[in-house]
Amino acid sequence: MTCRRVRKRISLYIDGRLPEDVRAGVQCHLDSCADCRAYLIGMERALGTLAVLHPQTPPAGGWERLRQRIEEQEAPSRARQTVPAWWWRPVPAAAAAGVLIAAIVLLWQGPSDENVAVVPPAKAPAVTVENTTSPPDAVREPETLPAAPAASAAAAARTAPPVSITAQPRPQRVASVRPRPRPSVAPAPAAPPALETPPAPETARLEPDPEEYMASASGLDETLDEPAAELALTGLTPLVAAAEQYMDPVAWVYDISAEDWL
Amino acid sequence: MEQDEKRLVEKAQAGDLDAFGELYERFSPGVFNLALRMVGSREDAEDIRQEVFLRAHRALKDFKGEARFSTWLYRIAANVALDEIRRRKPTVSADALREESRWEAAADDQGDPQEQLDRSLAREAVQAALMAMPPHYRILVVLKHIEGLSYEEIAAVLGCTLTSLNVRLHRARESFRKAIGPHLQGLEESGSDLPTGPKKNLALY
Repeated sequence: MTCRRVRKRISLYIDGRLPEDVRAGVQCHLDSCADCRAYLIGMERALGTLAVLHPQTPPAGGWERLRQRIEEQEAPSRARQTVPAWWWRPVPAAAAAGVLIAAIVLLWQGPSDENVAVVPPAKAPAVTVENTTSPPDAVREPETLPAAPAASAAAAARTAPPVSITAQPRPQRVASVRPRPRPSVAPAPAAPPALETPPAPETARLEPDPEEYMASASGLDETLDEPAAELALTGLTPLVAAAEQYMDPVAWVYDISAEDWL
Repeated sequence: MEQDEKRLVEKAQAGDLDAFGELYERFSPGVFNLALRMVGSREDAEDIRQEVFLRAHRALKDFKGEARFSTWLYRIAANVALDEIRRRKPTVSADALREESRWEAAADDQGDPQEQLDRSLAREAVQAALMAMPPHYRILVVLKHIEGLSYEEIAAVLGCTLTSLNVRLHRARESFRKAIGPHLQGLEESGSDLPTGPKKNLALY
């Protein structure tokens, strides 16, 4: 056994934790090596000096001070517990906020439900006819009737049968995402004419035929805008479609009001 | 005694502050001495002692009883002491160590004044050697030679294997041997009664 290996084991040798065969090897080396013997003696002396550090008595009154600190710390936590614990948890709080927002949205949406049910069948044919015949009219319309006609057109475009929708030009979509309705232009009086527009007999249906939607969408999918195509494929009713559009994040981003959609 | 300790811990976990007080009285001297040898100052050691028991009280519900309460407490103490050293990066001056040594000498009324002085100088030199060691080696020497913990207990306190501890403890002792080396001859010449071997300090067994 080399000196290096013996010195690495000297600590365990001092504590008597070496296996018997290893201990015998170390002992044999120490008997023949004065340097390693001196190393062992030096280590034992050094460690022996630690015995002068007697246990010290800690300052008195430690427990009283600690007890006071514990009670001080527990007091505010007890006070916090008077507030229902569930309120501070994020998931119930988020759920409560979600329910509240949904309730507000439903209440806000409520009065317009009648229009949603009535407008699509009445409005759709009128707008689509205009679009197919003279596309510039759809662009010109907002100049005279800023909010309601465009909104009705947008709603109608999304709920109308696919034959009419596919004929819509791209500007129709741009007109449907106007930033915000302007109350000063008085859109409300302009809306009734849209509602009173007589339906065209061939397209005035509240429940569109899904098969017809499928056929037209598959044939002209290049000209369909995506939401309209999706509606056509799923055959959603106007009420559900309006609600889905209203909950669309894009609508939130562009800050489209309920009037625009409905 | 172990059953008594277990009973006290259970009562403390149930919110009995008096039971926790009994645990404090039983184990806080050991924690104080560990902290004192780690930081070299009574004032800082007292702060550490309080912090250790404050944390222990806060974490008492997490104590599962898999290790002994004293081992769990030493683990907290070692962490708090090492954190404190890291945070403050203390450089204990020779004057401060001398002051601590005098404080200890005041409690040492054995022998004649010359012997007391020699012991005081010896304590000062040994504490200075400890302070000269890297903290992660110092804690090993303190746990083994001041607190008198076994290898198994030290491994549990520090969360390491026995194999790792064998190596680390040897390096720590080697570090201390080098640190105390310059003082060793003076200590022996002064006639300080330097006993050999570690001593048990705490009510661990």
